[in-house]
Amino acid sequence: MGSLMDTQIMNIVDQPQSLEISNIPSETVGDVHVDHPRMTARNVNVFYGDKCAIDDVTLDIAEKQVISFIGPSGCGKSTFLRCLNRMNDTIDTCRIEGTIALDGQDIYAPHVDVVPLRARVGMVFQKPNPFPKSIYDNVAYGPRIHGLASRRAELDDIVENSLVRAGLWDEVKDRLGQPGTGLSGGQQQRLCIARAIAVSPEVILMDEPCSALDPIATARIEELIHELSAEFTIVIVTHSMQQAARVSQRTAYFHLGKLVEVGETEQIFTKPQHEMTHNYITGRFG
Amino acid sequence: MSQIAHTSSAFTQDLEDLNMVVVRLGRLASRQLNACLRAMSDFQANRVDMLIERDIELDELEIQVNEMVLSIITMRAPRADDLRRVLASAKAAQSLERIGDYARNTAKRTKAIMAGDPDNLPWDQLIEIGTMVASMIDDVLVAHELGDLEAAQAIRNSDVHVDKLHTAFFESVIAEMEAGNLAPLVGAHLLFIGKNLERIGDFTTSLAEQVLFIETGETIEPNRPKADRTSWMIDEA
Repeated sequence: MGSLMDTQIMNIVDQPQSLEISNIPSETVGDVHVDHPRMTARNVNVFYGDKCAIDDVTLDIAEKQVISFIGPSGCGKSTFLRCLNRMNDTIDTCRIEGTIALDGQDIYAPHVDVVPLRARVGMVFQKPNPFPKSIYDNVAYGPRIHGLASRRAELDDIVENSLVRAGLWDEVKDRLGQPGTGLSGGQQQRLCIARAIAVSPEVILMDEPCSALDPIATARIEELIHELSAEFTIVIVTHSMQQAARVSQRTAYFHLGKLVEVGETEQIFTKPQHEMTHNYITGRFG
Repeated sequence: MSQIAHTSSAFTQDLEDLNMVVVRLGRLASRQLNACLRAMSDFQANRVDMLIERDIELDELEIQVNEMVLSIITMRAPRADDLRRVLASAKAAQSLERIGDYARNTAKRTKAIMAGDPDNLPWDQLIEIGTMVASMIDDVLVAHELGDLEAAQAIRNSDVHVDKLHTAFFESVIAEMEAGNLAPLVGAHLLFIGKNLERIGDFTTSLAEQVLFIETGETIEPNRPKADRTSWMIDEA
């Protein structure tokens, strides 16, 4: 984990400044506010040591919507995503300024316990990472540690319900005792999604959830994201602009740690307002 | 919006190639119309035959544009103004092919009239309309290449002059037919030729609207100035 984080930090710090920094707008283009925000970020800065990885980002995350974060490698989209459930806390050199709130409550306030926070703001990673446990125990793990079930039957219901909502139940219902690591890549990722939703989160963060999957598994995850958005707020980081266009209602474009532009996904991909967004989505990377 | 080339040079090349074929199609359509106008002015039927033979080239170029459009959408997944340019190219190719069709039909009718007595007919009026629309085609091709919004808007607005000329021509032919100075069949051919040229003007304004669509992303409202009154004319006698 540490070496992966180090690599990502170095990507940010060492990123070639190929596009003119002077072109980055001083204020985000588009409306950063929404009518019903589930999360709000205000003037967020993130530093790795002296290096600024996120620069003055203000953004609302709308309730029961999918928002995509796009941008070139090292632009800060994953860093910002990890700020939303304090995953960056694990990095010693990381310092965060500004305010990030969930349902109006500052998630960086001193009294906030990150364990229940991460149940409310779940996360699905780039590479499926099931625990080396049975399929059942992978899903039951969260409800157990958060005390969400008092009886075995109750836990069974949560596991079944989570696997159904993750679109995996029919494929695994007869082998719940088998290792989660024995599933295919796409099934493992759906198992991780089932694990995330088993603790009834409000927000699900997804960091390139399909980058390790084949097109069919990707399509199933995308369909799942669409279905889950009726219940959950979803934030997805993706390098696939097609995927962002397919799954999200809003899209945010990051570059060099700045939030350059945010807007309705259709508008971003058909009529972007800022030239940097235009150059990125049309494949002109400088 | 941007002069920066695509990171994939093949994508840039694909768009340039597509643009080149559309412009070639446009130049050919313009040449067909001009050949038709020269046939009217010098009564040379052999020009008409050559023109009719070349129409197939327009058809082939339109097919080529459509194939390139399909290929680019499939292979390159264009977005924003790139996507608009690709879609507009298909529509422009269709308009230019139709312009070629109208030029060919005009040429056939011109040849039919020439087989009789072509003297003392209102060729000057037709050539005036034809010259105006030919100029509009040339201008719109330049506007397309340069992405010139101002020129495209001016071309779109100028079609009203074509409408006025066509209405005046229509009225004069009807008057000559009523006076018995023009055989009904010749009069009918002349009216169709006038209408063909007016339709070429309409397709040219559509090309101008495609330029505006590519550059702005806005679909143009169908409220441009119009002055063709021929569709509502009735015999008041």
